[in-house]
Formats: sequence, C-alpha cells, structure tokens
Amino acid sequence: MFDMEAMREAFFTVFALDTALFIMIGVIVGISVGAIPGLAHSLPIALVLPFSFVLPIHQTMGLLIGTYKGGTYGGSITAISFGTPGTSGAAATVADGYALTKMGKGKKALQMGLYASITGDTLSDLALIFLVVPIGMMAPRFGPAELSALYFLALSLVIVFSTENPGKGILSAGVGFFLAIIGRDILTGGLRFTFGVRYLEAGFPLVPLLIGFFAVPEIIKQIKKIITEPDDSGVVGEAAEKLLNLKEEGLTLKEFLSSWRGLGLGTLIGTFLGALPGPGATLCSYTAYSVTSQFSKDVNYGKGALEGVATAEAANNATCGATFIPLLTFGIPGSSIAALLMAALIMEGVPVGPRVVVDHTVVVYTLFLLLLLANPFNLLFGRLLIPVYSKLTRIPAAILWPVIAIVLVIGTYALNNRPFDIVICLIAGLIGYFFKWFKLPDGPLVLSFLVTPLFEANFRQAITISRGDYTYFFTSGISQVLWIVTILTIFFFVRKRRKTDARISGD
Amino acid sequence: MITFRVTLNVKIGLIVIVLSTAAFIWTYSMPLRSMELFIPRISLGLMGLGGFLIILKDFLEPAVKIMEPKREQVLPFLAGVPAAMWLYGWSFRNIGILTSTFSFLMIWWICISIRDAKRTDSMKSVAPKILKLAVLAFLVTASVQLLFIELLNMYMPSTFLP
Repeated sequence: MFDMEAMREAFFTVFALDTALFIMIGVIVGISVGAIPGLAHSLPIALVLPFSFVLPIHQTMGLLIGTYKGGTYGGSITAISFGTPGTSGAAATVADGYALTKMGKGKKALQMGLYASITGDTLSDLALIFLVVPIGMMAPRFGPAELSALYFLALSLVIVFSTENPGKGILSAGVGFFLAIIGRDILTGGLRFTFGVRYLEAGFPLVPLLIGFFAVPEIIKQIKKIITEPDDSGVVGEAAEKLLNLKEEGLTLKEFLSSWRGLGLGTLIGTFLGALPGPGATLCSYTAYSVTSQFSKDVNYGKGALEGVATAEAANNATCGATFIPLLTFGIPGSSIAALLMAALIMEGVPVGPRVVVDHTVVVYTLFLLLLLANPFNLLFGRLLIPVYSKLTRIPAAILWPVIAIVLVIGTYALNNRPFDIVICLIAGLIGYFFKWFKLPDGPLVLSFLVTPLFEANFRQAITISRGDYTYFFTSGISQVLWIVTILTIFFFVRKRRKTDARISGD
Repeated sequence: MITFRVTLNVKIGLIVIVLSTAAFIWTYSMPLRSMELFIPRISLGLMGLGGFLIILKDFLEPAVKIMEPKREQVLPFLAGVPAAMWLYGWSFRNIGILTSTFSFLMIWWICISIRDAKRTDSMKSVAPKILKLAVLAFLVTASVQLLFIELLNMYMPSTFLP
C-alpha cells in the first residue's frame, strides 16, 4: 500500500528551494487577500490558476495550496481586529474575537486564531494522509454503476448542504450540467449546443469559466460601489484599528492548552464535514462553534472567550486538508476552492478520479507533503506579519480593483493566447453575478460542471455494458449502499428543513 | 388561506421554467441520438424543477419572510464593466500591452481623483495625487510586462505601440 520509492521522489521534489519559494508566495498572497474584507479567497486562487500552464506541478500546487491555507487563516485577522470577517469562513470568529479586541485582548485573540488554524490544518492534513491511501486503493473496485451512484450522491449532498432553498441548489446544478455538455459528445463526437461557434466545439473552457465565475462578479460589485458609494468604498475599519494594541501581552501556552475542547471539537467537526461535498468552511465553523457552546465551561463563550476563537478557526482551517479526501479518492471536489484545485491538477495532466492514487502515487504524495509544508509557512508569516496584515484593509478600493481587473483579463488571455477565452470569462462573470444577486449557491454549479463528464462517461458505459437495462445501477452491494445513503440523506434534510421552516413560521 | 404572492423569486422561477421547457422541447427536433441528448435533457429538467421549487417555496410558505434579491440599478455596471474589460483585452492585443495597461489605469484613476477632489472640495491637491498615481500605474504596467511577457512568455501579436 505504501510506496516508499514514490515517497522518496515526492520528498526530493517538495523539499527544494523553488517549491518553498512558491509556497511562501502563496501563503503571503493568501493571507493578504484573506485579510481584506470583500475579497473572496477563491479570487486569488482563480487569478493564479493560469500559472499551471507554465509551471511544473509541485510549484503550481505549492502556490495554490499556500494561497488556499493562507487565505483560510487570513480571514480571521480582520474578523478579530475590526469585527469584519475577511472571508465568510471566519464569520463565526467575529463574536468572540472582536469582543476580545474590545476588551484589550486583541493580540491574544489574533495569536489564538493563528495557532488554532495551524493546529486544525495540520491534524486535518494527517487525517487526509491516513485516509486517502486506503480509500484510494478501494476506489478502483468502483465500476461505472457504482461511480454513477457516487456522483449522484455527491451532487445531492452539495444541493442539500449549500442552500436554504433546494430549488436554488437544483437550478444551480442544472446550469452546471448544461455548461458541461456544451461541445462534442464524448463518445460519438456529435456537436451539442455549440450554436455554430467553432471555439465551443472543444467544450466550455474550464479555467476561463472558473476565473470569470468567481472574480468578475466581485469586480462588477466593487466598481459599482466605488462609483455609487464614494464615501464607503475607501478603507475598512479605520476607527476600529485604534482598538487593536499589538504591544500588549501575547497568548500563553496555558491559555492555548486550556482551549483543548474547542480545538479538538473544531478540528474533528471541520475534518468530518470538510470531507463531505458541500458544507464548506463557513458551515463547518458555525457547526463546530455551536456544538462547542454546549460543552464549553467558559462563561464568556460567545462574549469574548479564547475558546470560541479556537473552535471557529480550528474548524474552518480543518476543511483545507479534508476537502482533498473526496477529490483524491473519487475526483469529487468538496468545495468551490477544491474545484479550482482540481482544475489545476487537470491542467497539469493529472486525470483526477478513482485511479489517481494508484496511477499517480508520486503526485498524491507530493500533495501530502505540500499540504504539510505549507503549515509552518502559514505559522511563520501569520506571526511575523500580523501588524502588516491588519493595515492591508487601508488599500483604497479604487486603486485595488482596476489592477485586479487588468491582471484577470491578461491572465485569461495568457492561458491559450485566445481572445475568445476573455469573452467566455466575461460571460461566466455575468452568470456568476446573477448567481450572487439571486442568492444561488455556486457549489452545485462548479461541482456538476466538473463531475458531469465523469458522470456521463460512467453512466453511458454502464448502459452499454447492461444493454440498456437500468436495474444494472442497483445490482452491486456498493451501489445499493450508495443509493440508500443518497435517499436517507435527502429524506433527512427535507425533514429537517420542514421542521426549521415550521419553527420559523411559528415564531 | 394560501395567497399566491408574485415575488421576484416567482417571476424568475417562471422565466426559468419557460426557458428550460422550451429548450427541452427543442431537443426533440435536434439531429442527435437520444443517448447524446440524455444528459442535456437531465440538465434542462433540473433547471425546470429548480424553477418550480423556487416558486413552490414562496407559494407554500406564506408565513415565512421571503428574502428577495435587492432591486437596484446594476444594468449599467453589468454592461459597462465587462465591456471595459473586453475593450482592455482588445487594446492590449492591438495597441500594445504597456500603452493600454498604463492608459486604462490612468484614465480610471484620473476620473476617480477628480471626482473625489470635487466632492471634498480639494482640487488644489489633485495634481500631486495624480502624479503619484501615474508612478503607481507605471509600476503596475512594468510588473505586468515582467510577469506575463518576460517570465511567462505569453504570446503577444506585434503591435504599433509598445
């Protein structure tokens, strides 16, 4: 099961100066962007995605993983310093973190946020390492029928987890399915929904779609704000910055260890939920935060407790490693960011799917080591640059956003030197804006866009093998279990939602 | 008593149902095999079902407060921002990457600086501010050239200006 030769090769690839440099750049970019409220941390990942065409896999993934981990942690800096979460995943940190800042314990809270993030992240990476190889070895046993059932389960989970309104989740998944089937049919080569556009014959390009979908709506929103609300578009948290005194006493080891309950529960819940397609960092941190509130003995929990910061931050960073579990075992991205990382792997020539652990063992081990190596960098730069990061919010939006727009346009063109990619990116941006405006979840679209080719290939293969007999999808033990889990999950969430709605109506 | 509320959710749900149903029917006139159209039909069916459930949620739960999307003037920005980005894409391929990057940033920053100066009645300090922004635009332009052309070897068609 454990391939020593592959590990040796991966070790020498990762523990090299160039890889360390790219992880470092990624971490700095990630924390910087994560610390700026309004900049989703999928944005820097989308922006650095084009580099995967020119950089080798260890450098690309080092850069992306560094950005991902740094961005996930970075959101806590402004959540604690100014009460404004830099990313949605850090929203649960605000209650206790900002209360601590107002009590004059901002430095302790910032350090707890950092150490809890690194703890959650490292333990989640270890869980990934111990789980992926056994699951990955089992994955090749999945035939077309089992894989079709598994992809169906993943889509169902994303739809039920990602939104309050299941209709919106289903609509989002439908749009993702539709965009994915544009182009040549995978078996016959027939053209589907290309509308005579030659460039679409190869399909809706993945990277311009992802870049546009995540970044363009943010650019439109911010430019609108700069023009229509000139008083609000400047800096964030200027007044609150005075509250933060970084010369005060830092976190002691005793204080850190006394939050063991929050750290443990946050890591456990973040890892478990993070490994499922759909929940994402925000849901994980809120779930862990509310579960810990039932067990915490700190009377200040929710009003300024270090344990609250520890729980929320451990949980949201514990999703970083866990999100790779479904990705590396079955090719299912657990979140929108995992989808961007999956896109990078595909562009690097790694066909992410059930055989990736068997066929690309070196790549999988390289990813493990990159994930582990990014943590000390996150710790180092998080600790050294906290004063700098808490001032990043002062960059005027009017200067920042046009530069981002320019980098985005050139980055999209640089992928294939094809002007049509810019058009696709902008169309995807308009779709993304509609999604944000109508509050449609982005997870189902991205997941279904990436999973549809795999689903279609396996589904049609199964139909060919069974000569059109649909009962073939339910014959094996694995597929029966998967269908039962799917039905139970849908049933459980529909029931839970009905109860919640009934309670809201009653109130 | 259930009262049907024509919310924005309902209107958009109806539009989605009409469009997806029309496209679903249209697939039957396409010169493709039924297996080639299986997933497209599923996708259109999902869109229609999604639209239907969105309407149903507003219809069946009248007591629940409906979170409607904000109605605000976004159309000029939806058209303007992508158009400006496309124009920049066209200009760097046809005019030159250095010229167009510097010009785009400067035009934007000059407009914003003058507007802010008028708003805060500080027209006297606008010239030094623009000068600082020109230096910044130059640095950004140089970084773009260094990163995309020198480091990443991005192909650029030959242009009249740099």
